[in-house]
Amino acid sequence: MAKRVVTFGEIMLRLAPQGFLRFSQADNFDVVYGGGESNVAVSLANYGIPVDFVTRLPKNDIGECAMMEMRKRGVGIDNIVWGGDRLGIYFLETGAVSRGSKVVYDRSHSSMSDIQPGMINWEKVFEGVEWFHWTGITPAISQSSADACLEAVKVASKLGITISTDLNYRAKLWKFGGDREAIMTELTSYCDVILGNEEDAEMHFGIKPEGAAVQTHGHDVKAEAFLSVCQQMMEKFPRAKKVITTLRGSISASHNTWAGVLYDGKQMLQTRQYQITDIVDRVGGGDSFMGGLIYGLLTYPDDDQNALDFAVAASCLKHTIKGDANLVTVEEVSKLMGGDASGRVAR
Amino acid sequence: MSKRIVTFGEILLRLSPPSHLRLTQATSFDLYYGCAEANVAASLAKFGLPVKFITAVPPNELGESSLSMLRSFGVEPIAFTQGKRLGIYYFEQGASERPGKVVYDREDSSFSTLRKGMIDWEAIFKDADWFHWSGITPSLSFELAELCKEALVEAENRDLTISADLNYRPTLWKYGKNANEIMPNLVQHCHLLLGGIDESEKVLGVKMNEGETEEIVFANWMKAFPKLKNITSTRRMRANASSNAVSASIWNGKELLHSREYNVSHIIDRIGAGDAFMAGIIYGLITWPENHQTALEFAVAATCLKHSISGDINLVTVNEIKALMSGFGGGRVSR
Repeated sequence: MAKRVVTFGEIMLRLAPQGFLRFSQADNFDVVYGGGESNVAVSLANYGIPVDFVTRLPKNDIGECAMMEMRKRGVGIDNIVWGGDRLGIYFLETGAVSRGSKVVYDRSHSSMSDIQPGMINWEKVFEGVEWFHWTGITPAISQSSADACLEAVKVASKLGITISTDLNYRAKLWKFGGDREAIMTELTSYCDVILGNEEDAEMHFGIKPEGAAVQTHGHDVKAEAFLSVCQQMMEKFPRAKKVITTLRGSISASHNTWAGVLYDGKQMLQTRQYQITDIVDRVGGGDSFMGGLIYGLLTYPDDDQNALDFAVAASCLKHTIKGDANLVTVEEVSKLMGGDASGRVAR
Repeated sequence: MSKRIVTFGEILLRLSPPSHLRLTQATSFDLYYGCAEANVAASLAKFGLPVKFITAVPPNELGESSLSMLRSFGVEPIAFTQGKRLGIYYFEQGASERPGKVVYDREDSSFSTLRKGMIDWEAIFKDADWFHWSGITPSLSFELAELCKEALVEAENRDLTISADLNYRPTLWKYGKNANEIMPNLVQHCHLLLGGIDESEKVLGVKMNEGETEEIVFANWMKAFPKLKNITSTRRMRANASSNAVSASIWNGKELLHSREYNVSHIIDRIGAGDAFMAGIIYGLITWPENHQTALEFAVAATCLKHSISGDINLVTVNEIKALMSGFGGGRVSR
């Protein structure tokens, strides 16, 4: 039986100067539509998982474009609600070597940020659904979208749906003055699967590795240091069955290391560490991990190591792909997992 | 001595699909910065006049880029760096019977955060001769309409020449006032007005009876706004999105002069055509104060050339316009 997934969040227009041009050099922008939760949906659709993306879009050509992108990728769009004034925008300047990438958000008063509880019929959305995914971005954009997210999570929980989150801390969001820690704590308390990066748990909940400093610069990201983070997270969120951390070592904007750990309350699984030496586009790296992880946990319910390896390999490939979404197939990810990282032309 | 000009308004980021792609087909957007009063400023700077452009932009790369663009044409921007975002509009080029399409996304822009009392008009106007504004600014909010009034009163006190383009955009007047409740109070300070007779009641609140000619309507405008010395109007005939016949007229209180008509048969980009005309007529009236016919012909030739240029701004020189005016309209390569 097909296992249906729903993701909920904001999709934005991404405007990026071509190649490595700086903002001040650009006379055109590449156009991409994406966002944390829609990127996860696209990943899952590529892996053949039936998936629906729920959001709120403005009824104009730009909203239409965002919807068309989802439809193109095979993501269900029937539960999108239409209204509000504008599609949120983010401008992205792609970094290289020692110059980091730069994001300018222009997403205030977007249709999604003006969403209100009650606009989406969650009982109907969740009919026949096995998994619900949200991220820490949605409650970060406005109080009303935080409220709408809580509404969704409560209905999903009542219906016994598996709930996952990517904590996705964004310093430039959370502008509306809500109590971030309280909001995130309540939302996360409903989750079965919690994904974070090296600093999400600390930024949201003040949870730090015990006895080791978080090392996010350079290649030496110690997986062991995150055992205590995972344990503290499980203590704080007793419903969580799995806590996962992505481990990015940022040697430069062009060269990262990439790995992950998964803790299930008893043991901590680790993956191999990939060297991503020539990054094409790292935006959506975490989302591609989440997409791979949900696919892996649904497909190999008794083999978390396999699921985790799939997630890391999938997101490793994302770094080679322009745009927010990870446009790879199960076969391509499996090939990399199986050790073929040669990058030879497949003929 | 060159007349020193000040224009005041918003500058927007324009995002346009390349060539004639529809918005829903685009995988990239060409990027331009512009809007009515900024376009007038850039055009006048290209003509060699000293121009300042008063605006507000956000403290980010897009705000900076919009100002850099204006500087590159020789405009001196005086920008308040405040607020959160640069207003945006998406523009899809039309063709033949498919009209061009604008999607505005300009709410909560940095410019919309400007208020009465923030701008030191005295300092700005003390070395200026001419002030230009347009009906876009007061359409955005009541506060911006008040700010326009403040500027106009100060400009009048300093005996600046004041010009306005009515620029009526029904979709922009959303704050609960009709244009004709706001605009008359602003237009009363003006000496030069660009507008069309179909705006008489909706924008100026001047009643128009059926069948009234341009002469009668413009004479009524002058009665209602006695400071007006010249009223000018552009005309598009036989129009579709690719081809227009463009001409103009000017009323000086006594006679109505008509320009020659240009057949603009393959439009590249018509956005900013009115602004190109406005800049042309300002330059024309400054340069040929005793010869309104020449001023008018200059302005029409300027707007005619704008239709051949991508982007909002009329990137042409005085000599190129004069060449067209004097009959070199064949589009031969100039060598």
